[in-house]
Amino acid sequence: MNRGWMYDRYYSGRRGLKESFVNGVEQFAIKACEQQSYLDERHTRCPCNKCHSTHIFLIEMVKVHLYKNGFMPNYYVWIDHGEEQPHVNDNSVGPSSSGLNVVEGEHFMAMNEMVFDALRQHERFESSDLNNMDEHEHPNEEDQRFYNLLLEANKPLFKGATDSKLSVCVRLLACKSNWNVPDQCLDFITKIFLDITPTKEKLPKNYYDAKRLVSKLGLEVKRIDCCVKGCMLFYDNEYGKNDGGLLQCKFCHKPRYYPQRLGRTKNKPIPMKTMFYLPIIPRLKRLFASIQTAYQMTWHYENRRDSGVLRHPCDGEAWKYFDKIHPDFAAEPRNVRLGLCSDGFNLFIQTSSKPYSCWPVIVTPYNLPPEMCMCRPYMFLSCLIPGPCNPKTSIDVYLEPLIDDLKKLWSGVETYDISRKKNFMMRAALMWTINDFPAYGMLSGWGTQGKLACPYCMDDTKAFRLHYGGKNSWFDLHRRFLPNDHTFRRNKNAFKKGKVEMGGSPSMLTSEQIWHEIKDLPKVIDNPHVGKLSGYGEWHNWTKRSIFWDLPYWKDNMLRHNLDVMHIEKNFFDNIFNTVMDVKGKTKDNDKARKDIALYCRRPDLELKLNINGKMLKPKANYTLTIEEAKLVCRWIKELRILMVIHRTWLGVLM
Amino acid sequence: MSGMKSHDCHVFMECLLPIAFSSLPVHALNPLIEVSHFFRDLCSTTLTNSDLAKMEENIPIILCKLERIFPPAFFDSMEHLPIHLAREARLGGPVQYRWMYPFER
Repeated sequence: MNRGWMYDRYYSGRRGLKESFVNGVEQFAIKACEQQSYLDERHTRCPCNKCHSTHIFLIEMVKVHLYKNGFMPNYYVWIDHGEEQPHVNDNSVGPSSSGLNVVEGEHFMAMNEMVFDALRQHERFESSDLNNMDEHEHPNEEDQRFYNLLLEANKPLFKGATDSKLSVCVRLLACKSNWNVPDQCLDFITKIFLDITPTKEKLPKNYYDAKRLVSKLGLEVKRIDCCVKGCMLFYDNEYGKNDGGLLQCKFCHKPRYYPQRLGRTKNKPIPMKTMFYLPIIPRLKRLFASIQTAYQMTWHYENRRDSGVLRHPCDGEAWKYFDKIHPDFAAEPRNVRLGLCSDGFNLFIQTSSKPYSCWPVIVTPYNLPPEMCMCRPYMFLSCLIPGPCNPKTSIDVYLEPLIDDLKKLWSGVETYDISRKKNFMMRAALMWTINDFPAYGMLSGWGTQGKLACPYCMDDTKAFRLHYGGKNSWFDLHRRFLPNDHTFRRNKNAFKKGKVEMGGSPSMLTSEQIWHEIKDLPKVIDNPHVGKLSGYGEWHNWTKRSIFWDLPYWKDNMLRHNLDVMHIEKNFFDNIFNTVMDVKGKTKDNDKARKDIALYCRRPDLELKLNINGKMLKPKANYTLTIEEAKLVCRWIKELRILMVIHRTWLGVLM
Repeated sequence: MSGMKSHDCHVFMECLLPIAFSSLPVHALNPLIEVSHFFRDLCSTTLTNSDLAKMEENIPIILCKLERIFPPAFFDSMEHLPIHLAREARLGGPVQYRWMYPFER
């Protein structure tokens, strides 16, 4: 159907509306009037460029709006007026149009959006369920319960009302989270509602009631007590762990709860430390329960291409290799690939003098198309590891519940897919972790400190400790990566003095070899106080056998941990900038570095010289700017910044 | 000059560095520009295998050129790691799906 007329309203020069547009709007009105919702309520959603389907009017009013404002952008498929989102077919390329409902910006708007999503979704579910009862399967029990709850909560408050109990409750909670209103105030507001409206049974009675309704629909959060020192978690799992009832730590014997005061034994004991675990399985199921995402979850399969162009992780070698090893997993395109990200951050940067390092662990699915991948709605916070100290290598202890769930996901979990109206066994595999360089060491088990910091070169590295600087240096390590006949290899003057490099580049171990190397190393969950392993920092940098190796498929991932380009780029840039601009205290080109130059290199013009007055003189290097030049650069950047600010504000005004 | 966030560094590294340091002598400036180009190529949203192969060949040369200019103390582990980045991109796809910008926000 050609709907070009929708966005072609006027004759040029504003000589009135085009006939095709008027006819089109008429068609639209007929279509809208056929809808069940219109027959019930005599109103319909207005898709004009100002209302964006959020307001509901009489059809005449909607027409006037459309003549005046035109249609909202990208509304070729009239999904709010009875049309179905077309299926994504194999050949469709490019951004998917309206499946995306990502609203950044004000929270409250996002909240409204959420309610609308839920409403639309259930309408569609209900209607299709009635029509095609015999063709399609019913959702499994658990998912059915969710849909039933949603249906129940989504019934309009009274006939013709635009709000349901759910939307009222969500708006109340939004009120609390946006303006931080006390509970009692919300109780008061609900009381007003109840007093002034005739329909009492469907409104929430108080704040607690509202919260309970929404939390039933929402996703659960588990609190797991942990040892104060981070040795263990007090919880049970299906793999034989049975620590839920312990009262003190198995390893350090610290108590689990604060000691109770005498005579107050009725109160619940207060745990010393708890972590939050947000189970990942229901969140992944929810992706298939929502019509917006369920179609998109097979994007990677439908848009496969072998053109040598990398647009998405599914084009990468690691993804293809994994598919080859596990054909049964690859055969079902709905199986989920996950990435895991962890990073420490300081909660109270301004207020607290004590550092508090909190480690969120985020899981994100890679099945989605590029514009939805790695967006905020599709990043699931799965663990919140409490501080105050950096967990270091014992981060494994806290990851255990997540790994248990991942193991379960590998064998499959029954899930209802709304896009195909079928139940299926959803499986999921963790592809890699994303981490900065210190966290790399914590997650992979290969320490990233000292001479053997590089997790690729491993022990086959020639990094050395500078005699004066006292730091490890990776100087003159890169000639071995060059082709054998490169002139740099025989250069005895420019690099380390008198040295010719003939070695080849270090051989990278395959995951099988790595597994062979570490399979006998101790695991942190079995023994958190293992200390340094023998030979650490000399011929290996292993601190532990990482918990990820417990996943049965982990050794089939070619790229298990990512070096974070962002951090490397930033540190690289900082070093270049500080050295070239000769920033005091931060430059790498200090007196000690010059002494080291004399020791390792043949660069007499850079060595420290003894001045007449007995002081050492540091000659200016040709790679630093003079003070005047540095000032010039600073001024230039400042002007640039002002320009950018002006540019940004102008954009703001124009938008 | 302080208070540069990691994204400021990203922009500076990829766009402004060649202009800002244009008063350096050519033999010191060129490798810096090459580093800047390397990161810019690596961070593009679509990569091709042939480009990546070329980058994998080039990065040791660029780092060697830097070694000829800067003192040994300049080279900490962060200066070494770019050598493995092109390979990782070949395995895992574009860096936008594997870096931490979206998580740090």
